[in-house]
Amino acid sequence: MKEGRKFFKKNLAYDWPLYLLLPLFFSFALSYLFSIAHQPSIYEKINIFVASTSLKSEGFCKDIQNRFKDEGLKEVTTAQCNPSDKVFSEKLQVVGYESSDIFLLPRSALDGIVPGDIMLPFSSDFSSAYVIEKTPIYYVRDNVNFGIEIRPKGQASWLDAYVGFLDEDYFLCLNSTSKNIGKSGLYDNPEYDLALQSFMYLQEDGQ
Amino acid sequence: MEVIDVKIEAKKYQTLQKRYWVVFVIVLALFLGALTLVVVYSPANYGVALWLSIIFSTLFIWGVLYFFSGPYQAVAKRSRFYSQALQGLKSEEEVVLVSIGIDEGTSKEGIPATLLTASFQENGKVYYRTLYLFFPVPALKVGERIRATSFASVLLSYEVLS
Repeated sequence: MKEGRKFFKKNLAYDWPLYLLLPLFFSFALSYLFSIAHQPSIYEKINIFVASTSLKSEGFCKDIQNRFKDEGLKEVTTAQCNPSDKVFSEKLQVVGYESSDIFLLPRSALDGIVPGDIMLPFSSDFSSAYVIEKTPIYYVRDNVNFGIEIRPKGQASWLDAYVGFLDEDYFLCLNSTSKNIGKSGLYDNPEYDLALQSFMYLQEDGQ
Repeated sequence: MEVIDVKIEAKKYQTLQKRYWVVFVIVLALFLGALTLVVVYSPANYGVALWLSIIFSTLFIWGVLYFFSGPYQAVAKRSRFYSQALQGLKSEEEVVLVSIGIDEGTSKEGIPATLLTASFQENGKVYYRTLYLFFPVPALKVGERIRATSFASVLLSYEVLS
């Protein structure tokens, strides 16, 4: 033991940087591990794709997150793109189709895609359960409803506070591959419906 | 007279080195296990858990560094030396003890040792030879003529000639 202490004192002159660097490195590693471990699961976060000229993302996300905090919503993110951008179509198909749960799109953007590829068709059961408006206006393609109008052209909406709308009719659509739309989409997981709840909230005039 | 029984010492330090490793691996596994549990089961607001983990990890890392640069290295160096001594060629020579050092800072192969200065004659000339002692041998006296058996200049055994 005494000899070990002698060795330690002798080696400390050379090893002292390790006593500083290793804990520092380990602290960063731990911090990263904690952040990974506490990342919200796919059922605890939603992403909203917004086609607009601008978006106050922080306020918009916080608004929705605060509303559904108690229901387990931990993270709301947005993907925004101006429909007049050259990359709009690519961004919608790559970012939106792959990771967004809800789409807020103008009529022109919906006209430019095949909604049946990704948007959830609104069945009558679905509409009666999740569409709030008594006389809703849908985005219809081939006699199938794919979106609900939430901001008619020229009219004001509570979302104007966050979204720079184009001068067009805007529709709210759902991604059929989302894991947060209960059993309405591809996955049969009725308990995970945060995107559906947010979908209804966005129709509610923010009440 | 045997100063060091190389076979016994080699076995002793190899066993000790293995034991140190086993203890280290067990402690490391327990630490990593505990850390994993803290990371996984910490609350959503994990600030306190993170800081506690950083503090305990720092103490653990310092402990590991101390262990490997101190106690473990002392054992590992002795284990290595005795293993080499077991297999290597020993030197045997007749020398007269000139002085027995008391310098505590002396070391051989990284192991603290006592310095022995001895002399021997060859072709009418006197040469000096340095030997090392890992353990104190009170029986050795200055002026004694001995037949010393050594490995890497470390005295393993001797026979008093006069």
